[in-house]
Amino acid sequence: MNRATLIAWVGLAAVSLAGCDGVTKSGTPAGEPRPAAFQTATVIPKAPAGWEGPQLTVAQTHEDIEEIIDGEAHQYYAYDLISLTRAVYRGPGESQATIDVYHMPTAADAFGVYSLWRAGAAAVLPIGDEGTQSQGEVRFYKGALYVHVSVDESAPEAPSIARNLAQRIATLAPPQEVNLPDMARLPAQDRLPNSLVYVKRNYRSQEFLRNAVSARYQGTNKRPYQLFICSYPSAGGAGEAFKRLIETATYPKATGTGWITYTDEFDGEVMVFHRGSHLVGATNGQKEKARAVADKLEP
Amino acid sequence: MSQVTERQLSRRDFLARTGGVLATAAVATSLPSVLRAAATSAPATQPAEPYVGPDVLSPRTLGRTGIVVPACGYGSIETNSPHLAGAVMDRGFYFLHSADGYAQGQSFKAIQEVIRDENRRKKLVLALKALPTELDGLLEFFNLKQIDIIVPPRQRARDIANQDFIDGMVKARESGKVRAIGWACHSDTVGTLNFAAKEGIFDVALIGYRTDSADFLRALEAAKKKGLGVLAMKYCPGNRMQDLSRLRTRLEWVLTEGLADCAMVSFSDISQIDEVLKFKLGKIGPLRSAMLRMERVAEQKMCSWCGLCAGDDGRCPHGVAIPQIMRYDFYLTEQGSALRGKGKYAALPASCSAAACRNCGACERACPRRLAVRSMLAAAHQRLA
Repeated sequence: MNRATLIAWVGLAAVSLAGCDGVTKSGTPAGEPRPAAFQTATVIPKAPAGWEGPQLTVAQTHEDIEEIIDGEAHQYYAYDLISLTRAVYRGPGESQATIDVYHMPTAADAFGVYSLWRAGAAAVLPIGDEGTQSQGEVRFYKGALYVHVSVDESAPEAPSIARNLAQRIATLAPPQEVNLPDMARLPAQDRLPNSLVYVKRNYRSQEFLRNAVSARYQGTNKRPYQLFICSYPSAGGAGEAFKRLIETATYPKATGTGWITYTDEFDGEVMVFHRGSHLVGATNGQKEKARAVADKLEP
Repeated sequence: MSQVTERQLSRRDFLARTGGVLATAAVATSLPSVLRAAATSAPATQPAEPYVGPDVLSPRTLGRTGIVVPACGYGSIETNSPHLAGAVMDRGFYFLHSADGYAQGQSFKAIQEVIRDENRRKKLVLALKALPTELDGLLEFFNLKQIDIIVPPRQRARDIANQDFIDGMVKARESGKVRAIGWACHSDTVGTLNFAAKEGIFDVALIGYRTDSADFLRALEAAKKKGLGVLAMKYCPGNRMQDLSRLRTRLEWVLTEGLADCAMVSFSDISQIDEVLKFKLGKIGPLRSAMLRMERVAEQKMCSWCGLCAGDDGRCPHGVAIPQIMRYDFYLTEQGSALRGKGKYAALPASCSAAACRNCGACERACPRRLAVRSMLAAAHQRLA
């Protein structure tokens, strides 16, 4: 028995233990099963009382993933999505519950995806590492998993069913720390609730702005502003990104050694500092706030 | 070529032009709303001069609506910042498509923000996945007097044939809150297009190009003859920006052989826009055309998963999930993906598998291609089970 076959058997055994009705497994581009996709099946709960299922689909290739979540998939590719496991349950009448478990490479990626989806209107739910609930929809992340539970509004007690399913997944999901040191560098004071996000690629729609943590703050003039830190593997990488920023920044702009200010149509005056392997910036004219964060970094 | 300004017009020209407008208005009031929209809007939006610019932005008229859009529209499903939406519009992609759920609602907010700029607002052509009941809210949200196109998702022919749906859509168009009405579909594209061709009610379709079968192209052709404007989506699955030559080939195909008026593209960062603007979209060569024709002939003997052999639930009278099974067999035999085909078949409940066939033949009577469905099912079962 070769390694791939062994992994497949172990994975299938795990799925059986989870009590699933059936599993669809899609191939990787190379046709080799990947262990990561099978692990997600182990967190899928059994059907609630009076419900049937789950019917499982595990998607790893872009083609298969897009068959499930369509054009949305690209937002997950930006965080290097490993696999998507969808579990569908049939309830009373025509009602349906769907669980989507996105297996990301790291807890930071799972947090990043979650932070994009975190809706201001949804109520915070104490689940996993962080979660929200709005009616029959629960979104949360725990470790390297981002989870979306959706129960039809037609289902009796949809919100509580969604919450229970989510809780059971959260219990089974393996823990993992979010390793984003820059998050702690953003000040907590005046930070708006639920505004901390992690954008792995294309921050502010620029491909050279990467690994960005950002948060929104209440400014003294009532105008919110954003603080952000982009990090790179090396000072050279950050320097290259800083050069690109200078090239693409909109006028009027001014530059000095390791800093630039420019005027952005949507964010007012933006100031960005280059410090070692980081770029630190603030929007809406909050230069001093950006400088305060930048000055704590290695030059 | 110089632009003629109002100041340079002679009185005679002025009278001729304003007279034309008044005549158009007089005719328009006596026409049904669809024709009225075309009669009143088409002359105003026709490009006055030969187009010189990037191929992907070359202007095309969207069926009978008279709305002129670039060859490539912008699908904003990934648009999570006004920076991207603004850059897209400023580089000439002024035809935007969006829905309230795209990018967690950020797509709507981004568009709202960028069209605060009057220049962008004037150029904008906006297509939304929205229902007539949502129009008032959307007009207020975007601060517009009219939405250009609405295309709510409708996946089956019976969904767009629903009389309440039709009445609501037609009423919305007549109210002037929306200029053109249609639907978005990536499932039963053939069925919905055939309905549109037969009834001639809808102006625009946002259609998933997951197939280039002969049935699909015939349905497109028939609907276009009725003046339907065709927007192509989902013609290049996968990570399209990592394979730009494939994206370019697919774009060429949908805009020529594929009969689309406009193909939607999507970007996740600003640098990608310039890459797509460099595309030279030539006609498909004779060899590729010949191959496509041969493929279509061959496909007459293949199941196109139209679903007409099955009920609304995708099952035959005895519960067999015929279109699904045929698709899984396609994965195995045509795409060489045994894991995918067999895996999906294994996930079907036994009551829906080909083994549940009672040999009644209802499927073959319903099949528009007169395929030997029962023997095909049996063969598929042997391969997949």
